[in-house]
Amino acid sequence: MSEALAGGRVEGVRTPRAGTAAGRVFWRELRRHRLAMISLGVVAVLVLACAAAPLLAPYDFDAIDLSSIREAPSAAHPMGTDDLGRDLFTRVLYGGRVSILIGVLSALLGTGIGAAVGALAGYYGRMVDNVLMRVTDVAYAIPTLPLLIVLASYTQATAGSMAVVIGLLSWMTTARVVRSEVLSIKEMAYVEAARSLGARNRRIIGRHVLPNALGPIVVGATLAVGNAIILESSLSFLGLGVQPPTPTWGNMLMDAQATMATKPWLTVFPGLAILFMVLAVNFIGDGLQDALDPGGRSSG
Amino acid sequence: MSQAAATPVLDVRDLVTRFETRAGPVHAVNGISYTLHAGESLALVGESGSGKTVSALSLLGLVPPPGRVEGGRVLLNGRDLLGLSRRAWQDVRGKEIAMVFQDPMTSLNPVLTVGRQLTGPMRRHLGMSRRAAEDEAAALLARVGIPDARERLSDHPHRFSGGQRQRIVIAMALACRPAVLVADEPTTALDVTIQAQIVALVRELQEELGTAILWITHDLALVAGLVDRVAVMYGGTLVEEAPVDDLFARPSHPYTRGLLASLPEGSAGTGPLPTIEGRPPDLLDPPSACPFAPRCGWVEQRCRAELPRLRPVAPGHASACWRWEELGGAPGEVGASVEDPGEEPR
Repeated sequence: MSEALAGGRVEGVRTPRAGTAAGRVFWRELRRHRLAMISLGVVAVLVLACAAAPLLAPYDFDAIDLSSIREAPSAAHPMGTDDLGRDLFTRVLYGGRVSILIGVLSALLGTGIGAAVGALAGYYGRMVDNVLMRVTDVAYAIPTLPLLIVLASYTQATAGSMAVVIGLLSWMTTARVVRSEVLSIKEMAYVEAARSLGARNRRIIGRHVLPNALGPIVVGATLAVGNAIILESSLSFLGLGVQPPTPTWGNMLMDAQATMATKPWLTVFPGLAILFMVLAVNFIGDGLQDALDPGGRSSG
Repeated sequence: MSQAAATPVLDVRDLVTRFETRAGPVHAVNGISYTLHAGESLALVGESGSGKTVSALSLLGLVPPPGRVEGGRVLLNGRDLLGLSRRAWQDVRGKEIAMVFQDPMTSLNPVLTVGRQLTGPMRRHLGMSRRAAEDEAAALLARVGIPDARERLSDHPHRFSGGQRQRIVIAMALACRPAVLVADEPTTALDVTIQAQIVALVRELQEELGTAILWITHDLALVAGLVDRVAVMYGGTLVEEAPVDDLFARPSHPYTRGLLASLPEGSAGTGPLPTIEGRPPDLLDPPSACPFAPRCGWVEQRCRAELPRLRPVAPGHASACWRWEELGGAPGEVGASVEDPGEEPR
């Protein structure tokens, strides 16, 4: 039937309308979420500042100046100096690079594993579901901190290895959320329709199931960034994280332990950096959640 | 009706599909047989729970667990589909046999553009390039009556009306020119005016492409001007099969007569519509005799003891009723008393 008609309108104008209606709703909802918008700004400033650390920082992050140890904030050192005379502002910027990088990478890894496990378990069901969900239960039951302490005693932590380890320990929630989402998506008529047209399982999962579960996946990933930054800080605080002289927000806190009462700025600034970053990321997650599912999903 | 010597494109024999439930096996389809020739259309008519949808899903190997096709053969162009591997099934679906589902509002993936969904099967089965598939998709969309087809390929489903979506779904199903199209009540979810348009569209496409169509419906009125033959399903079995005009003129099973009598057009006056009393058989425990016996006004001793098989009553017309000869020519009530025997349903 088409041969005759195909010639009719070959070169049409591609209007860039695809998805704009849904997109507009998304942005409108997100903009209404004031905290999320402010948080987006906070995260943007923090990320840009840390990324541009070599340009912004007044000193080298490992430049030791024994003549100015533990100085209070001043014009020369806006956040003061630490116990080796290193500029704290510089170290907060450089530390942020590592902390944020670990946060993002481990969130990506964890979300990837979680989405894959959840999608396979939910889609195939039965044995696959049973096995994968029991593995998830086991992973949940692993006490994170003791395991990391044991790991750290055998290996030297780097930013990369920290990201991998945290990622490997934080996929379970995503897996459960995605699984439950997939359980309902796979019953949708369009999945059966795709199957009736010969689509393979791989394609059905990739093109039909996962894209429709993207909302909770994105929200989960965002929240995971915050959690990973916290976990990195805890580990570094215990001395199990990235080793000095490379600064992270966590190991800066550890360095400041001894002088917390007398030289509070050493604790306050990296602490505030963690607080703002995690808080902002979590608010963005909340905003995304509301924007991606405004009052229950509309069919249109 | 092209029941020539040619072999049928679809030959279903003694199809049995069961669901293993906790309460025991549910006998959804109990050995039904029918054939479909190229370009022919057959309606599978029955009430909810008669097994018509399950029998259709069985043809595509899409019976959801815990359901299983337990026996019979489904010959598509001479090849038995029931023996195929999962992979081989996937190559057949959408290419040689395709299905259109009831609800067009949910049959399309909301997050993919219509173009993506239309080109999918063609690229998958025919190995077409993206560009070629898009050209073909635009032509298909234009053919099923979507204006500005080329531009609208990049739209998501929510920008189309219900009728348009069903047109798109039909285009998707026919994209690879399958030999058989299974249409599972594709008009039930649509307005009456749109229904008529969709029916007309399917008929046109059928003639153009020579597709054989298995039309599944509970609506006998819809079937009248649409198909060549009708098979009436009851309790997982076929109780009557006939050319469509013959079925309306000489229904030879009490159940068919009941269905025809309960059509709004078929009943005289303004009183309540006639109904068939009673309930369909329990498929957990299918009767070993005639499944319609408990509801039948013509029932006799034999009906409760022996299962009637589908037997020819006229050329191309078969009935599974022991007493078909006594039913008389015109449709009437299910019971023995026919008030107005001369009335024609249509």
